[in-house]
Amino acid sequence: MPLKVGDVLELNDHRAVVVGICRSSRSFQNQPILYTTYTRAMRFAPRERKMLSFILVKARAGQDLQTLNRRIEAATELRALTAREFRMKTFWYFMKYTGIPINLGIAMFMSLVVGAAIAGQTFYTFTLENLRYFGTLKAMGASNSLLFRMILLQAVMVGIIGYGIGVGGASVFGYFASGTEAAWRIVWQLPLITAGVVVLICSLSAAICIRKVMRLEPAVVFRS
Amino acid sequence: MQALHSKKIAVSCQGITKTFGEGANSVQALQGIDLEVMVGELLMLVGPSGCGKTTLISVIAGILDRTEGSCIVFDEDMQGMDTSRRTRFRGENIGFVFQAYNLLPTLTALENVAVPLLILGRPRKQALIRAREVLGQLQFDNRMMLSLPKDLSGGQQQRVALGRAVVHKPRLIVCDEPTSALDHVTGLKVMELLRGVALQEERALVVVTHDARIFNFADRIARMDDGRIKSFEQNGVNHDS
Repeated sequence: MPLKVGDVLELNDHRAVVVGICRSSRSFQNQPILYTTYTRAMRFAPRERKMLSFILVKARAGQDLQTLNRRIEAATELRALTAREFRMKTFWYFMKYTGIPINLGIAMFMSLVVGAAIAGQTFYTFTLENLRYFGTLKAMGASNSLLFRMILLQAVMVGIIGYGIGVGGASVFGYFASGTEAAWRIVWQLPLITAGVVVLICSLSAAICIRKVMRLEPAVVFRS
Repeated sequence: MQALHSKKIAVSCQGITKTFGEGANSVQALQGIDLEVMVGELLMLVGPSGCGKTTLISVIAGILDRTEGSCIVFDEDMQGMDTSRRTRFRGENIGFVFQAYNLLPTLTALENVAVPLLILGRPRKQALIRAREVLGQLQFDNRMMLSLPKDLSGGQQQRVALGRAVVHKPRLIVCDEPTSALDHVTGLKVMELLRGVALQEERALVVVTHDARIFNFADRIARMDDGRIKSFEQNGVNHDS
Protein backbone atom coordinates (compact mmCIF):
# COMPACT_ATOMS: atom_id res chain seq x y z
CA MET A 1 0.00 0.00 0.00
CA PRO A 2 1.54 3.35 -0.92
CA LEU A 3 1.86 5.88 1.86
CA LYS A 4 -0.47 8.85 2.09
CA VAL A 5 -0.57 12.04 4.11
CA GLY A 6 -1.53 11.36 7.72
CA ASP A 7 -0.10 7.83 7.86
CA VAL A 8 1.83 7.02 11.01
CA LEU A 9 5.06 5.02 10.73
CA GLU A 10 7.56 3.50 13.07
CA LEU A 11 11.09 4.48 12.19
CA ASN A 12 13.81 2.91 14.33
CA ASP A 13 11.45 2.76 17.33
CA HIS A 14 10.32 6.34 16.79
CA ARG A 15 6.88 7.54 15.73
CA ALA A 16 6.78 9.41 12.42
CA VAL A 17 3.81 11.05 10.68
CA VAL A 18 3.65 11.55 6.91
CA VAL A 19 2.87 15.22 6.27
CA GLY A 20 3.53 15.35 2.56
CA ILE A 21 4.38 13.19 -0.44
CA CYS A 22 7.29 14.31 -2.57
CA ARG A 23 6.56 14.08 -6.27
CA SER A 24 9.70 12.74 -8.00
CA SER A 25 10.70 10.48 -10.86
CA ARG A 26 11.51 6.84 -10.29
CA SER A 27 15.19 6.39 -9.48
CA PHE A 28 17.56 3.55 -10.26
CA GLN A 29 17.68 2.60 -6.58
CA ASN A 30 14.96 0.96 -4.55
CA GLN A 31 15.50 2.53 -1.11
CA PRO A 32 12.77 4.91 -0.02
CA ILE A 33 13.83 8.51 0.63
CA LEU A 34 12.44 10.38 3.64
CA TYR A 35 12.80 14.14 3.93
CA THR A 36 12.72 15.69 7.38
CA THR A 37 14.54 18.29 9.42
CA TYR A 38 18.10 17.60 10.47
CA THR A 39 17.13 17.41 14.16
CA ARG A 40 14.40 14.81 13.53
CA ALA A 41 16.64 12.88 11.17
CA MET A 42 19.23 12.60 13.94
CA ARG A 43 16.49 11.17 16.18
CA PHE A 44 15.23 8.62 13.64
CA ALA A 45 18.74 7.59 12.57
CA PRO A 46 21.15 8.36 15.36
CA ARG A 47 24.65 9.30 14.43
CA GLU A 48 26.58 6.20 13.48
CA ARG A 49 29.75 5.69 11.62
CA LYS A 50 29.18 6.31 7.86
CA MET A 51 25.41 6.31 8.18
CA LEU A 52 24.99 9.91 7.15
CA SER A 53 24.70 10.29 3.36
CA PHE A 54 24.23 14.00 2.93
CA ILE A 55 22.76 17.09 4.49
CA LEU A 56 20.90 19.57 2.35
CA VAL A 57 21.87 23.14 3.09
CA LYS A 58 19.98 26.15 1.84
CA ALA A 59 22.22 29.16 1.45
CA ARG A 60 20.99 32.66 2.23
CA ALA A 61 20.33 34.86 -0.77
CA GLY A 62 23.54 36.48 -2.01
CA GLN A 63 25.77 34.06 -0.14
CA ASP A 64 28.96 33.12 -1.98
CA LEU A 65 28.64 29.35 -2.30
CA GLN A 66 32.36 28.56 -2.41
CA THR A 67 32.96 30.58 0.76
CA LEU A 68 30.05 28.80 2.44
CA ASN A 69 31.45 25.43 1.36
CA ARG A 70 34.83 26.28 2.86
CA ARG A 71 33.19 27.36 6.12
CA ILE A 72 31.13 24.14 6.34
CA GLU A 73 34.18 22.02 5.58
CA ALA A 74 36.23 23.82 8.24
CA ALA A 75 33.48 23.49 10.85
CA THR A 76 32.38 19.90 10.20
CA GLU A 77 35.36 18.31 8.45
CA LEU A 78 32.79 17.01 5.96
CA ARG A 79 32.94 17.61 2.24
CA ALA A 80 30.63 20.46 1.09
CA LEU A 81 29.48 20.75 -2.51
CA THR A 82 27.34 23.16 -4.49
CA ALA A 83 24.24 21.74 -6.22
CA ARG A 84 26.09 21.54 -9.53
CA GLU A 85 29.15 19.87 -8.00
CA PHE A 86 26.89 17.40 -6.21
CA ARG A 87 25.03 16.64 -9.44
CA MET A 88 28.27 15.93 -11.30
CA LYS A 89 29.63 13.84 -8.42
CA THR A 90 26.44 11.77 -8.42
CA PHE A 91 26.62 11.42 -12.22
CA TRP A 92 30.20 10.21 -12.09
CA TYR A 93 29.41 7.90 -9.17
CA PHE A 94 26.81 6.13 -11.34
CA MET A 95 29.16 6.11 -14.32
CA LYS A 96 32.09 4.65 -12.37
CA TYR A 97 30.62 2.40 -9.73
CA THR A 98 27.34 1.00 -11.10
CA GLY A 99 26.36 -1.21 -14.04
CA ILE A 100 23.84 1.33 -15.26
CA PRO A 101 26.01 3.01 -17.94
CA ILE A 102 27.17 -0.37 -19.26
CA ASN A 103 23.63 -1.71 -19.45
CA LEU A 104 22.23 1.45 -20.99
CA GLY A 105 25.29 1.76 -23.22
CA ILE A 106 24.87 -1.77 -24.53
CA ALA A 107 21.16 -1.10 -25.15
CA MET A 108 22.01 2.12 -26.99
CA PHE A 109 24.78 0.48 -29.00
CA MET A 110 22.51 -2.41 -29.97
CA SER A 111 19.79 0.07 -30.97
CA LEU A 112 22.34 1.90 -33.08
CA VAL A 113 23.53 -1.29 -34.77
CA VAL A 114 19.99 -2.55 -35.36
CA GLY A 115 18.86 0.89 -36.59
CA ALA A 116 21.83 1.17 -38.94
CA ALA A 117 21.28 -2.39 -40.20
CA ILE A 118 17.58 -1.80 -40.84
CA ALA A 119 18.19 1.58 -42.50
CA GLY A 120 21.05 0.18 -44.59
CA GLN A 121 19.08 -2.92 -45.57
CA THR A 122 16.01 -0.83 -46.47
CA PHE A 123 18.08 1.54 -48.58
CA TYR A 124 19.91 -1.35 -50.25
CA THR A 125 16.64 -3.14 -51.03
CA PHE A 126 15.29 0.11 -52.43
CA THR A 127 18.38 0.32 -54.66
CA LEU A 128 18.06 -3.25 -55.89
CA GLU A 129 14.34 -2.85 -56.58
CA ASN A 130 14.98 0.32 -58.56
CA LEU A 131 18.16 -0.67 -60.38
CA ARG A 132 16.42 -0.76 -63.73
CA TYR A 133 15.17 2.80 -63.19
CA PHE A 134 18.64 3.96 -62.24
CA GLY A 135 19.89 2.12 -65.34
CA THR A 136 17.21 3.82 -67.43
CA LEU A 137 18.23 7.25 -66.16
CA LYS A 138 21.89 6.43 -66.83
CA ALA A 139 21.09 5.25 -70.35
CA MET A 140 19.10 8.43 -70.98
CA GLY A 141 22.10 10.56 -70.07
CA ALA A 142 21.92 11.05 -66.31
CA SER A 143 25.45 11.52 -65.02
CA ASN A 144 26.80 9.80 -61.93
CA SER A 145 26.89 13.14 -60.14
CA LEU A 146 23.17 13.69 -60.85
CA LEU A 147 22.30 10.23 -59.51
CA PHE A 148 24.61 10.87 -56.53
CA ARG A 149 22.70 14.05 -55.73
CA MET A 150 19.35 12.27 -56.16
CA ILE A 151 20.31 9.52 -53.72
CA LEU A 152 21.78 12.04 -51.29
CA LEU A 153 18.55 14.04 -51.40
CA GLN A 154 16.57 10.88 -50.69
CA ALA A 155 18.84 10.05 -47.75
CA VAL A 156 18.47 13.59 -46.37
CA MET A 157 14.68 13.45 -46.73
CA VAL A 158 14.50 10.02 -45.07
CA GLY A 159 16.80 11.28 -42.29
CA ILE A 160 14.72 14.40 -41.67
CA ILE A 161 11.45 12.42 -41.63
CA GLY A 162 12.94 9.71 -39.37
CA TYR A 163 14.51 12.29 -37.05
CA GLY A 164 11.26 14.24 -36.90
CA ILE A 165 9.23 11.14 -36.07
CA GLY A 166 11.79 9.88 -33.51
CA VAL A 167 12.59 13.09 -31.66
CA GLY A 168 9.06 14.43 -32.07
CA GLY A 169 7.55 11.19 -30.73
CA ALA A 170 9.99 11.15 -27.81
CA SER A 171 9.19 14.78 -27.01
CA VAL A 172 5.45 14.16 -27.07
CA PHE A 173 5.91 11.08 -24.88
CA GLY A 174 8.13 13.09 -22.50
CA TYR A 175 5.54 15.87 -22.34
CA PHE A 176 2.74 13.50 -21.36
CA ALA A 177 5.00 11.60 -18.95
CA SER A 178 6.01 14.76 -17.09
CA GLY A 179 4.52 14.87 -13.60
CA THR A 180 4.41 11.08 -13.43
CA GLU A 181 6.99 8.80 -11.92
CA ALA A 182 8.05 7.82 -15.44
CA ALA A 183 9.11 11.42 -16.12
CA TRP A 184 12.41 12.05 -17.79
CA ARG A 185 14.27 14.97 -19.19
CA ILE A 186 15.55 15.65 -22.69
CA VAL A 187 18.74 17.60 -22.21
CA TRP A 188 19.72 19.87 -25.09
CA GLN A 189 22.65 17.67 -26.04
CA LEU A 190 20.38 14.69 -26.75
CA PRO A 191 18.69 15.95 -29.96
CA LEU A 192 22.11 17.05 -31.24
CA ILE A 193 23.71 13.67 -30.57
CA THR A 194 20.67 11.94 -32.08
CA ALA A 195 20.96 14.16 -35.17
CA GLY A 196 24.61 13.17 -35.47
CA VAL A 197 23.74 9.48 -35.22
CA VAL A 198 20.94 9.86 -37.81
CA VAL A 199 23.37 11.64 -40.18
CA LEU A 200 25.87 8.81 -39.67
CA ILE A 201 23.31 6.07 -40.34
CA CYS A 202 21.87 7.86 -43.40
CA SER A 203 25.37 8.53 -44.76
CA LEU A 204 26.37 4.87 -44.42
CA SER A 205 23.12 3.71 -46.03
CA ALA A 206 23.40 6.23 -48.86
CA ALA A 207 27.05 5.25 -49.41
CA ILE A 208 26.04 1.61 -49.97
CA CYS A 209 23.37 2.72 -52.44
CA ILE A 210 25.64 5.20 -54.22
CA ARG A 211 28.39 2.60 -54.61
CA LYS A 212 25.96 0.19 -56.25
CA VAL A 213 24.50 2.80 -58.60
CA MET A 214 27.88 4.28 -59.59
CA ARG A 215 29.04 0.82 -60.67
CA LEU A 216 25.82 0.06 -62.51
CA GLU A 217 26.21 -0.56 -66.25
CA PRO A 218 23.43 1.27 -68.10
CA ALA A 219 23.15 -1.77 -70.39
CA VAL A 220 21.24 -3.42 -67.55
CA VAL A 221 18.11 -1.69 -68.92
CA PHE A 222 17.92 -4.09 -71.83
CA ARG A 223 18.16 -7.20 -69.65
CA SER A 224 14.73 -8.57 -68.86
CA MET B 1 6.05 0.67 -97.23
CA GLN B 2 7.40 3.86 -98.71
CA ALA B 3 11.15 4.16 -98.26
CA LEU B 4 12.16 7.19 -96.22
CA HIS B 5 15.89 6.87 -96.69
CA SER B 6 18.11 9.81 -97.25
CA LYS B 7 21.74 9.36 -98.11
CA LYS B 8 23.12 10.51 -94.73
CA ILE B 9 24.57 7.79 -92.53
CA ALA B 10 23.36 7.79 -88.95
CA VAL B 11 25.17 4.70 -87.67
CA SER B 12 28.14 2.93 -89.18
CA CYS B 13 29.40 -0.28 -87.59
CA GLN B 14 32.44 -2.14 -88.92
CA GLY B 15 33.67 -5.49 -87.65
CA ILE B 16 32.07 -5.21 -84.23
CA THR B 17 32.75 -8.03 -81.81
CA LYS B 18 31.67 -8.30 -78.21
CA THR B 19 32.95 -10.93 -75.82
CA PHE B 20 31.55 -11.41 -72.32
CA GLY B 21 33.78 -13.03 -69.72
CA GLU B 22 37.32 -14.30 -70.08
CA GLY B 23 39.12 -17.52 -70.90
CA ALA B 24 37.23 -20.78 -71.22
CA ASN B 25 34.01 -19.24 -69.89
CA SER B 26 33.94 -16.37 -72.38
CA VAL B 27 30.97 -15.93 -74.70
CA GLN B 28 31.25 -14.12 -78.00
CA ALA B 29 27.89 -12.34 -78.36
CA LEU B 30 28.81 -10.40 -81.52
CA GLN B 31 31.11 -11.89 -84.15
CA GLY B 32 31.98 -9.21 -86.67
CA ILE B 33 28.98 -7.02 -87.34
CA ASP B 34 29.00 -4.68 -90.33
CA LEU B 35 25.97 -2.42 -90.41
CA GLU B 36 24.87 0.98 -91.60
CA VAL B 37 21.71 2.78 -90.62
CA MET B 38 20.66 5.77 -92.70
CA VAL B 39 18.99 8.94 -91.47
CA GLY B 40 15.23 8.60 -91.94
CA GLU B 41 15.41 4.82 -91.89
CA LEU B 42 13.64 2.36 -89.60
CA LEU B 43 15.88 -0.68 -89.34
CA MET B 44 14.67 -3.79 -87.57
CA LEU B 45 17.05 -6.28 -86.00
CA VAL B 46 15.37 -9.64 -85.88
CA GLY B 47 16.44 -13.12 -84.90
CA PRO B 48 16.11 -15.80 -82.25
CA SER B 49 16.69 -15.15 -78.56
CA GLY B 50 20.37 -14.92 -77.67
CA CYS B 51 21.49 -14.06 -81.21
CA GLY B 52 23.01 -10.74 -80.09
CA LYS B 53 20.30 -8.22 -81.08
CA THR B 54 20.14 -6.53 -77.70
CA THR B 55 23.91 -6.55 -77.33
CA LEU B 56 24.20 -4.85 -80.72
CA ILE B 57 21.76 -2.02 -79.90
CA SER B 58 23.49 -1.60 -76.52
CA VAL B 59 26.79 -1.09 -78.35
CA ILE B 60 25.18 1.25 -80.91
CA ALA B 61 23.53 3.28 -78.12
CA GLY B 62 26.84 3.61 -76.28
CA ILE B 63 25.73 1.85 -73.12
CA LEU B 64 27.98 -1.16 -73.68
CA ASP B 65 31.60 -1.20 -74.86
CA ARG B 66 32.45 -3.33 -77.86
CA THR B 67 35.50 -5.60 -77.78
CA GLU B 68 36.68 -4.88 -81.33
CA GLY B 69 35.65 -2.94 -84.42
CA SER B 70 34.30 0.55 -84.82
CA CYS B 71 30.89 2.08 -84.28
CA ILE B 72 30.34 5.65 -85.46
CA VAL B 73 27.08 7.34 -84.51
CA PHE B 74 26.51 10.67 -86.24
CA ASP B 75 30.24 11.00 -86.90
CA GLU B 76 31.19 10.33 -83.29
CA ASP B 77 32.76 7.25 -81.70
CA MET B 78 31.22 7.14 -78.22
CA GLN B 79 33.72 4.57 -76.96
CA GLY B 80 36.51 7.07 -77.49
CA MET B 81 34.81 9.72 -75.35
CA ASP B 82 35.34 10.25 -71.65
CA THR B 83 32.45 9.18 -69.43
CA SER B 84 30.86 12.59 -68.93
CA ARG B 85 31.02 13.55 -72.63
CA ARG B 86 29.67 10.16 -73.63
CA THR B 87 26.80 10.44 -71.13
CA ARG B 88 26.00 13.91 -72.44
CA PHE B 89 26.17 12.75 -76.08
CA ARG B 90 23.82 9.87 -75.29
CA GLY B 91 21.43 12.19 -73.48
CA GLU B 92 21.27 14.62 -76.37
CA ASN B 93 21.30 12.26 -79.33
CA ILE B 94 19.73 8.95 -78.38
CA GLY B 95 16.22 8.04 -77.30
CA PHE B 96 15.27 4.71 -75.76
CA VAL B 97 12.11 2.61 -75.83
CA PHE B 98 12.14 -0.46 -73.62
CA GLN B 99 10.18 -3.69 -73.64
CA ALA B 100 9.00 -3.14 -70.05
CA TYR B 101 8.49 0.62 -70.60
CA ASN B 102 10.70 1.48 -67.57
CA LEU B 103 8.57 4.48 -66.68
CA LEU B 104 9.35 5.95 -63.27
CA PRO B 105 6.40 4.73 -61.20
CA THR B 106 6.08 7.75 -58.92
CA LEU B 107 6.00 10.30 -61.74
CA THR B 108 2.98 11.14 -63.87
CA ALA B 109 2.98 10.43 -67.59
CA LEU B 110 3.75 14.10 -68.21
CA GLU B 111 6.66 14.13 -65.77
CA ASN B 112 8.03 10.89 -67.20
CA VAL B 113 8.12 12.39 -70.67
CA ALA B 114 9.86 15.50 -69.30
CA VAL B 115 12.67 13.46 -67.68
CA PRO B 116 15.16 13.52 -70.62
CA LEU B 117 14.83 17.32 -70.82
CA LEU B 118 15.36 17.67 -67.07
CA ILE B 119 18.45 15.45 -67.33
CA LEU B 120 19.75 17.82 -70.00
CA GLY B 121 19.24 20.71 -67.60
CA ARG B 122 16.17 22.33 -69.19
CA PRO B 123 14.00 24.34 -66.78
CA ARG B 124 11.15 22.26 -65.34
CA LYS B 125 8.41 24.53 -66.68
CA GLN B 126 9.84 24.48 -70.20
CA ALA B 127 10.30 20.71 -70.03
CA LEU B 128 6.69 20.16 -68.98
CA ILE B 129 5.38 22.40 -71.78
CA ARG B 130 7.34 20.40 -74.35
CA ALA B 131 6.26 17.08 -72.75
CA ARG B 132 2.62 18.20 -72.97
CA GLU B 133 3.09 19.02 -76.65
CA VAL B 134 4.57 15.58 -77.38
CA LEU B 135 1.91 13.70 -75.41
CA GLY B 136 -0.70 15.69 -77.31
CA GLN B 137 0.75 14.32 -80.55
CA LEU B 138 0.44 10.85 -79.03
CA GLN B 139 -3.29 11.46 -78.42
CA PHE B 140 -3.11 11.88 -74.65
CA ASP B 141 -5.76 14.01 -72.98
CA ASN B 142 -5.08 16.05 -69.84
CA ARG B 143 -6.38 13.39 -67.46
CA MET B 144 -4.12 10.73 -68.96
CA MET B 145 -1.14 13.09 -68.87
CA LEU B 146 -1.57 13.49 -65.12
CA SER B 147 -2.01 9.76 -64.47
CA LEU B 148 0.61 7.56 -62.89
CA PRO B 149 1.95 4.73 -65.07
CA LYS B 150 0.15 2.10 -62.95
CA ASP B 151 -3.17 3.71 -63.95
CA LEU B 152 -2.44 3.44 -67.68
CA SER B 153 -2.86 0.46 -69.99
CA GLY B 154 0.17 -1.24 -71.55
CA GLY B 155 -0.38 0.55 -74.84
CA GLN B 156 -0.71 3.92 -73.13
CA GLN B 157 2.45 3.26 -71.11
CA GLN B 158 4.36 2.41 -74.27
CA ARG B 159 3.08 5.64 -75.83
CA VAL B 160 4.45 7.53 -72.82
CA ALA B 161 7.74 5.70 -73.29
CA LEU B 162 7.67 6.71 -76.94
CA GLY B 163 7.04 10.33 -75.94
CA ARG B 164 9.98 10.14 -73.55
CA ALA B 165 12.17 8.79 -76.35
CA VAL B 166 11.41 11.66 -78.74
CA VAL B 167 10.78 14.64 -76.42
CA HIS B 168 14.37 15.91 -76.58
CA LYS B 169 14.54 15.45 -80.36
CA PRO B 170 17.29 12.81 -80.43
CA ARG B 171 18.81 11.83 -83.78
CA LEU B 172 18.75 8.08 -83.08
CA ILE B 173 16.09 6.04 -81.31
CA VAL B 174 16.72 2.47 -80.20
CA CYS B 175 13.78 0.28 -79.25
CA ASP B 176 13.99 -3.09 -77.56
CA GLU B 177 10.98 -5.30 -78.26
CA PRO B 178 8.57 -2.34 -78.14
CA THR B 179 5.48 -4.43 -78.88
CA SER B 180 6.21 -7.74 -77.17
CA ALA B 181 4.20 -6.85 -74.07
CA LEU B 182 1.24 -5.58 -76.11
CA ASP B 183 -1.65 -7.26 -77.88
CA HIS B 184 -1.71 -7.24 -81.68
CA VAL B 185 -3.96 -4.20 -82.24
CA THR B 186 -2.21 -2.10 -79.59
CA GLY B 187 1.17 -3.19 -80.93
CA LEU B 188 0.25 -2.01 -84.43
CA LYS B 189 -0.99 1.33 -83.08
CA VAL B 190 2.24 1.84 -81.17
CA MET B 191 4.28 1.03 -84.27
CA GLU B 192 2.21 3.45 -86.36
CA LEU B 193 2.86 6.18 -83.79
CA LEU B 194 6.51 5.19 -83.49
CA ARG B 195 6.99 5.45 -87.22
CA GLY B 196 4.89 8.59 -87.54
CA VAL B 197 6.31 10.54 -84.62
CA ALA B 198 9.82 9.20 -84.46
CA LEU B 199 10.68 9.54 -88.12
CA GLN B 200 9.25 13.06 -88.39
CA GLU B 201 12.45 14.91 -87.72
CA GLU B 202 15.20 13.28 -89.73
CA ARG B 203 16.20 10.64 -87.33
CA ALA B 204 17.10 6.98 -87.52
CA LEU B 205 15.35 4.17 -85.72
CA VAL B 206 16.76 0.79 -84.75
CA VAL B 207 14.13 -1.61 -83.47
CA VAL B 208 14.93 -4.99 -81.98
CA THR B 209 12.02 -7.37 -82.30
CA HIS B 210 10.98 -10.92 -82.91
CA ASP B 211 7.36 -9.87 -83.47
CA ALA B 212 6.76 -10.80 -87.12
CA ARG B 213 3.46 -8.88 -87.13
CA ILE B 214 5.29 -5.56 -87.21
CA PHE B 215 7.98 -6.40 -89.78
CA ASN B 216 6.11 -4.45 -92.48
CA PHE B 217 6.78 -1.20 -90.56
CA ALA B 218 10.52 -1.56 -91.28
CA ASP B 219 12.35 0.04 -94.17
CA ARG B 220 14.98 -2.65 -93.82
CA ILE B 221 15.30 -5.80 -91.76
CA ALA B 222 18.61 -7.24 -90.56
CA ARG B 223 18.30 -10.91 -89.68
CA MET B 224 20.74 -11.99 -87.01
CA ASP B 225 21.83 -15.38 -85.79
CA ASP B 226 24.67 -16.50 -83.58
CA GLY B 227 26.18 -13.01 -83.23
CA ARG B 228 26.20 -12.30 -86.96
CA ILE B 229 23.94 -10.54 -89.45
CA LYS B 230 22.88 -13.28 -91.84
CA SER B 231 20.90 -11.18 -94.30
CA PHE B 232 19.26 -7.85 -95.02
CA GLU B 233 15.78 -7.48 -96.47
CA GLN B 234 14.78 -4.23 -98.09
CA ASN B 235 11.24 -3.63 -99.28
CA GLY B 236 10.68 -7.34 -99.49
CA VAL B 237 13.96 -8.04 -101.30
CA ASN B 238 16.35 -10.43 -99.55
CA HIS B 239 20.10 -9.75 -99.71
CA ASP B 240 22.45 -12.26 -98.09
CA SER B 241 25.04 -10.63 -95.86
